[in-house]
Amino acid sequence: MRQLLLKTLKLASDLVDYCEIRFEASQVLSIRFQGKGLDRINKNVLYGGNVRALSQGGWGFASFNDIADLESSLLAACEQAKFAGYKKQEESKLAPVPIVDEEVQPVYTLDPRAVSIDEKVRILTHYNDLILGYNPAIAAVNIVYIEKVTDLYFANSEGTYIKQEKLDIGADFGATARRDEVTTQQFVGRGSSIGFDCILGIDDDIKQACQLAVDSLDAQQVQAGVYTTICDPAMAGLFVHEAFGHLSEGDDIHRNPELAKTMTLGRRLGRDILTIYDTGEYAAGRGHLVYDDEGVATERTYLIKEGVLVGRLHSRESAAIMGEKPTGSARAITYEYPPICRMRSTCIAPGTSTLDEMIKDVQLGVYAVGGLGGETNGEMFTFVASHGYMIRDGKLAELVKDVKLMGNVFTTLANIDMVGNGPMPDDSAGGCGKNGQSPLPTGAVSPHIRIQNVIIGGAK
Amino acid sequence: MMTSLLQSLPTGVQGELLTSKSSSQSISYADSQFEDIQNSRSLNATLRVIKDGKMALASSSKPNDEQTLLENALAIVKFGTEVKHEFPGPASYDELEIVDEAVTQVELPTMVDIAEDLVATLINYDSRIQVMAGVTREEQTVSLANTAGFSGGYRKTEWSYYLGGQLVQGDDMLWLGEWVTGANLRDNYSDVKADVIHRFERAKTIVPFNAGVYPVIFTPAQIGYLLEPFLASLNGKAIMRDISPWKGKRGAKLLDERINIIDDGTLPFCASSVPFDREGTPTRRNALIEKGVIKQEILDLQSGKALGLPSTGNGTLTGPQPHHVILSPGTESVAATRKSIDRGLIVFDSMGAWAGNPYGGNVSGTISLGLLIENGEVVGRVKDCMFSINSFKHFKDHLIALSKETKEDGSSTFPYVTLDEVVISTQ
Repeated sequence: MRQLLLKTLKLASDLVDYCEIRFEASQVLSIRFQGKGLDRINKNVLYGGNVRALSQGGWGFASFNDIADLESSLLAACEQAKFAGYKKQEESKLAPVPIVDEEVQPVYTLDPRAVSIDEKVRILTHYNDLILGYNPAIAAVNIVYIEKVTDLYFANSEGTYIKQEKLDIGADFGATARRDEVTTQQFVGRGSSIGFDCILGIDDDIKQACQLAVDSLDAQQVQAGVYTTICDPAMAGLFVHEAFGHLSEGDDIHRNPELAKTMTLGRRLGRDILTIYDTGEYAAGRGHLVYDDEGVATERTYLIKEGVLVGRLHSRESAAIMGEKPTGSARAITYEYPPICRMRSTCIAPGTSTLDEMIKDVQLGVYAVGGLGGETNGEMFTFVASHGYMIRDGKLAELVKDVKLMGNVFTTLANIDMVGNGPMPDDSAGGCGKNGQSPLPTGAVSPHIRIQNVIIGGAK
Repeated sequence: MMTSLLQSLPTGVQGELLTSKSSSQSISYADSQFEDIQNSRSLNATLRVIKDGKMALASSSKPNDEQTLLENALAIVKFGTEVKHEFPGPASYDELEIVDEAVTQVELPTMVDIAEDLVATLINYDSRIQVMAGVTREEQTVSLANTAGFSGGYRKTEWSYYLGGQLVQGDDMLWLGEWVTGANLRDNYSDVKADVIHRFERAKTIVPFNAGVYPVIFTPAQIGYLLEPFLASLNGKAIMRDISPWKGKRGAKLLDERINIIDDGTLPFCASSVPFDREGTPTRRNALIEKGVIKQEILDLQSGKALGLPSTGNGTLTGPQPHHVILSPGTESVAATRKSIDRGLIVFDSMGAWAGNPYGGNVSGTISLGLLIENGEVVGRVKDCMFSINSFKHFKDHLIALSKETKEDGSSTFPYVTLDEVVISTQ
């Protein structure tokens, strides 16, 4: 493969300013339980590649399935890049990065290929039975297990060649309780880039989710209002991803002067207690990455340090245009897409507060637990908790459901007044979406955080 | 390939093979500048097998990978889904209008001209807007065959374009856009440009707003979120799994009598139209709710069998799904409804309304583009607000009006819906 890619790239040398080839061969196993038994088992092969070319600031991109189409795809991408460059008439800008020649092999804690499908089905059946047998009110199960092992090849016209073996495991264990016309759902999420063991020994967590689903049948919908809100590590992780991570993606800023002004490095966005970074270094999480999809080594990228905006997530192009350093953040979900600026594991650095300290002076508030998903448009965000507890007179009170938070990112970051001392990773079978590329495996590592004046939707 | 692979299945194994090939070309503008050109060629083959009452699936995007498909499917079928249905036999299906040769004949420079014109119009309106636009054309061929004798195929074209932009003023980030898609060449560029500019114009003034309970006009783009509890509750798989609150409610009047919901997989030149579903059942027009009464569930072969009913032609690989959902319009114009509102909102765009538990009926979302109505007129944009309704309750007791105007996107045709008693949370 190495010779084929590097040799083919030579065809582009006189045609365009830059060219790269990415080729992927993935084996995907997915197993789903719904109801009383196994609902779906699939074994899929993802096989294909793409060529991306740059000429006078314009990009061309061609994807293909048949390796025999590599050369024609390269020529097509170059031709398109020249056409795009003709329209743009700009200098091609890519931040310089070291030329790499490397093969990357993960160090597995438990290689999923060493575990038979029989054993995987047996383990998942155990969890399915555990959920179904927990309480008569549990009406349904939703277990999703997805395992993807990829051989990813990358080469570019600068001489870089990288072969990476990558693993992505995501799993959700959901319990649905029903009484008459009231239905509630809770789930446990797990994920890893290094081992199947991430889904082992989670009986207690699953039982807790089942109990919450049952308890939620009697819970009231949260009353709409503005509350002091404490986010558990999963919600805090979702918050930092939705509310701030997306706003830090360089390709949304680099040609938008007004947004660049709003996101000027050095601007104070939070209190001294707030430090946020994004990193590919956590091998146990789904956001683990050694090299991104432009062949750039990933790093820990500080975005906010002690309340001040200090960095953003860059591709080589966005970094060059903004005069900043590439951060190894260019990612694509499959060979069918070009890389764009994305998060890896986005983290809030731990503070010093305990959960008790956060709760004790809140007269009326909400403790939001378990992230179900969220969305942002840059300035505003929304995210959904799996459940919550009211806080009354400094103590946790009744369970509430349908807890959906919204806010303005700048106001909310400034309103984080406490950061917890126990960061926890959060992973699930879900993923991040941007520009039609979804779901991309990402992760979060966060402690509890407390935010003043959060808008929560709900009953009147 | 199809015949030989199915013929090579061992005795006692039923098989179904779907192959698809597609090619697409797209151009895009971002931040008011030409961004890129993308060409994609893709193929995929998916084999489902049933053996001893269990079903499993294998797929591959690798060319000529039949042996791997076969080996993978047979290796996992012993763990597979328990099924009581069989693959359907030969069936006749209507040829649908889902190909427009004009789409395949559009040249790249023409696509660039279209996008350039879209971008220029918005820049000319307000040069501060960072404009996004794109044009895509696609062609797809699908073949489906099984060992029970079904054999079918179709060719389909798709044309789509979008225009949008972001206007950043300090910490205020206004983003809005419009997306058009269909199987035929749609050239209503003037309407889209006018619509996007109209919304930017009306959103420029920010006005204060208080939390409370208000009448709200939801635009067609928002209606899918509001109807999701109904579609989720009518889904045969949810009924089969005993999590649908509408299990056993066929014939019950649960919504306002003005509510008529139809699912149609046969509409001419709709992006979601196909002559037969993923299992080989011909698609059709299904009345799901008539005059507020539940008439029909959304079924595939498996859920239909479990409920003792035939498939409604909604089979996918992940369970039954609607094709193109239609909410019947009303008789009043949206302008007339607006004029009757003393104080309320129009919600054009929201975030997060898709999230949550659909079976409970609670739908809430951050209003990313909402306009305030005072004394029947739009007076400006509201910010930092969230709406909350319960669809089961609001479409039963708090429906003010369905507009006579409707809007189609790739998978739905909806009117404007005005609901009363909508909870709005804000600072």
